[in-house]
Amino acid sequence: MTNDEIKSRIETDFQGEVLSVVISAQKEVIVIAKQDSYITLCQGFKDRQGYDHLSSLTAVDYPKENKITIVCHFWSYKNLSQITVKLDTPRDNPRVPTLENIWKSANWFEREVYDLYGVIFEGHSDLRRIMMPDDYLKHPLRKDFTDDGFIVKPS
Amino acid sequence: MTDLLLSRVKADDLSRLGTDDYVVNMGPQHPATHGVLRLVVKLDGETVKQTTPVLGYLHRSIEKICENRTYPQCITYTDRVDYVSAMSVNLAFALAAERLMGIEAPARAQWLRMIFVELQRLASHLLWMGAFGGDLGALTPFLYGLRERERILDLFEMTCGQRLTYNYIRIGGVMIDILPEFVPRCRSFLDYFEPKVDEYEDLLTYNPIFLERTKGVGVLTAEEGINCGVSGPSLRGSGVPCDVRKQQPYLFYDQVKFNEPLEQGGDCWSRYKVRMNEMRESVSIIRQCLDKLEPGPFEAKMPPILKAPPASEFYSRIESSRGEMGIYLVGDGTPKPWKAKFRCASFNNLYVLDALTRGWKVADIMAVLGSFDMIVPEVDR
Amino acid sequence: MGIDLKNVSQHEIQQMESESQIPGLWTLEKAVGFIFKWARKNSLWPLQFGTACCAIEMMSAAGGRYDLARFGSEVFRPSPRQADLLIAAGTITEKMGYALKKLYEQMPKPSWVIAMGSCTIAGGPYYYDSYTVVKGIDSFIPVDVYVPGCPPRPESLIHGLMAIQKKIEDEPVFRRRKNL
Repeated sequence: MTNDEIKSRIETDFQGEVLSVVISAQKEVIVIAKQDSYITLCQGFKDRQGYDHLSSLTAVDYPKENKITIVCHFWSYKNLSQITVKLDTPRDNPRVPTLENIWKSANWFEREVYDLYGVIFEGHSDLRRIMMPDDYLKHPLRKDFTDDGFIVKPS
Repeated sequence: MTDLLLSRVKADDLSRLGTDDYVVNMGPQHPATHGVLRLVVKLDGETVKQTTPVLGYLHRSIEKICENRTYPQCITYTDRVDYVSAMSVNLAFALAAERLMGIEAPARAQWLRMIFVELQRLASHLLWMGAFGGDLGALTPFLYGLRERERILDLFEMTCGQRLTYNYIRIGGVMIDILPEFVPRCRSFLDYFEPKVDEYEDLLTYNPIFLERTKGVGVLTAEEGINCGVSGPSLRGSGVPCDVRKQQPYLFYDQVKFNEPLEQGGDCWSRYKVRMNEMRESVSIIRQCLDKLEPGPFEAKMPPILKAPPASEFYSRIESSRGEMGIYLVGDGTPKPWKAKFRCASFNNLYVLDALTRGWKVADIMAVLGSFDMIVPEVDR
Repeated sequence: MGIDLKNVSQHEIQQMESESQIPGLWTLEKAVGFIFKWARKNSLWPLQFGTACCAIEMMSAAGGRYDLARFGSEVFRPSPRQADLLIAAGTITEKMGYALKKLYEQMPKPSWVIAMGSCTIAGGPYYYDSYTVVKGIDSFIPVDVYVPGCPPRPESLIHGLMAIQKKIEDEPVFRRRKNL
């Protein structure tokens, strides 16, 4: 399926649930989602459009725009296509619903994002640190992270 | 006498005799956990009730370091993410960075990349075979696997000077062209190696002890595998066609003919068989690439400082030896990436260990862990 | 005696021996020491401790081509109680450092440590800005031989092993370092 077909199919299927669908300059289909319809959107992607494989779930930190963006990549084994879903959340209180009940692989992905960025996933069964020791206080992958031994570059 | 005692014991109220769970720590230093992985195992006698992996013993903050290095400098760190198949990670990063910046590598570089990635797949599966046999108590495949692997590392050393962390596949092409004696040496190695796969299968595949240890152990169904994000040979052992080289072809994989080995069992034996068949397919792919190699430049013309356009991003997926390796790069107009995420196959493959070992014995944990071909730095990065 | 015996030459050791009050100790130590040192240096049993990339080169060194068994390191012991050589191969993070210190303390003395690879010497490629990597294991473990490389070739590791053998030959056999 070409990118335009995927884009038009998403726009017809999920009318009010997405903010926008764009095709990037690198020829990827990116869906910008809304906080309140995020779970139904992802459930719809899995059940109705056949995106059964959650490839990766990560977060990107934008301190200047004061937001953290959660980025998910889905792959469909049935129609061999890939889409990206993005969700913005404010940087000082990042709370996002969890995708664990839809794809089990989201369990550890979300734990890693919580550990390294501090994003709280509501409804997660076991949200605790995965890489750093349990009593570590900071969130290392944020752009304003400072620690002894880590040198902050001016941005 | 003991029967009499036992019958007296059973006649008593068994709830007063209560048993407790026994928690055992398979610590970070363990001969069979393939690196520094800690497993906290809850046992009831010898039966496993729950396995909790504790990660982070090799968390080297590679993703944060990559945000402080330019794109070509990041490639040296990608070698260390998966050191057993370093060429694959190099390739994934180079493909992602090239798509970000709009660079196209020349044809000779693409063929060379394919040859080296497939040779790397052979080397990785040979080391896996040795380690898997060693976990189950068979010590001979380890020596055979290392012996063949040394020959492949000789080929790598002839080309780029390094045996383990190559830094060979660069953005825009490869580092340096191959020597003229590479092609005949590679062909003679392939002719020597192809019958050896049958020899190693003779050692293990229908060995009664091996069959007892691996047949029916750790069965992964197809739906659970897809839901938990398992990929690569581990998922092909459950009958799901999931090869990224076939479904989303990169380099010139659509121009070579190869099969995707599938098995239907879903247990450790099926995953083992898939990898042995993959070795044969890799040999055939390398032969086809050597035939199609054409002279030309090995690197594209690039500006001296590589900058990504602002607000650009790309997620590239390749089929590494362990499964699907994805690299997500976000560019922001500077020579350094804003974000580099490494999606590694072992991270997801390790997640299903808990579900697969419940109800089995302690020794089966090692069989299942070995059959998933897990490497700890991929899990921790 | 309170003297640091690390950088003392053979001549000075003989002088100290001749000045010691117990007669015959010097000849006893020389004679018995020869046998002890020969036994120790030709049967160094390493501990199976490999963290990262250097562990693969250590396995290659134990394989068929670069055979480590001909130097006496026939078996890699899984338990620290049975080993006397710790080849620290691979990056040590802070979380792992506690485990490494425990392993070193569990090894019965005399024991020797090889720091293999640049990650254990000074942090390796992560020395500049990693928030978890320990920049050199000699901050909490005494190291005898440093083998540089990223990763060092198996021949370099064998050279390091031979350097440990030479060190065993040159050291006094009964009085090893007391303060660790």
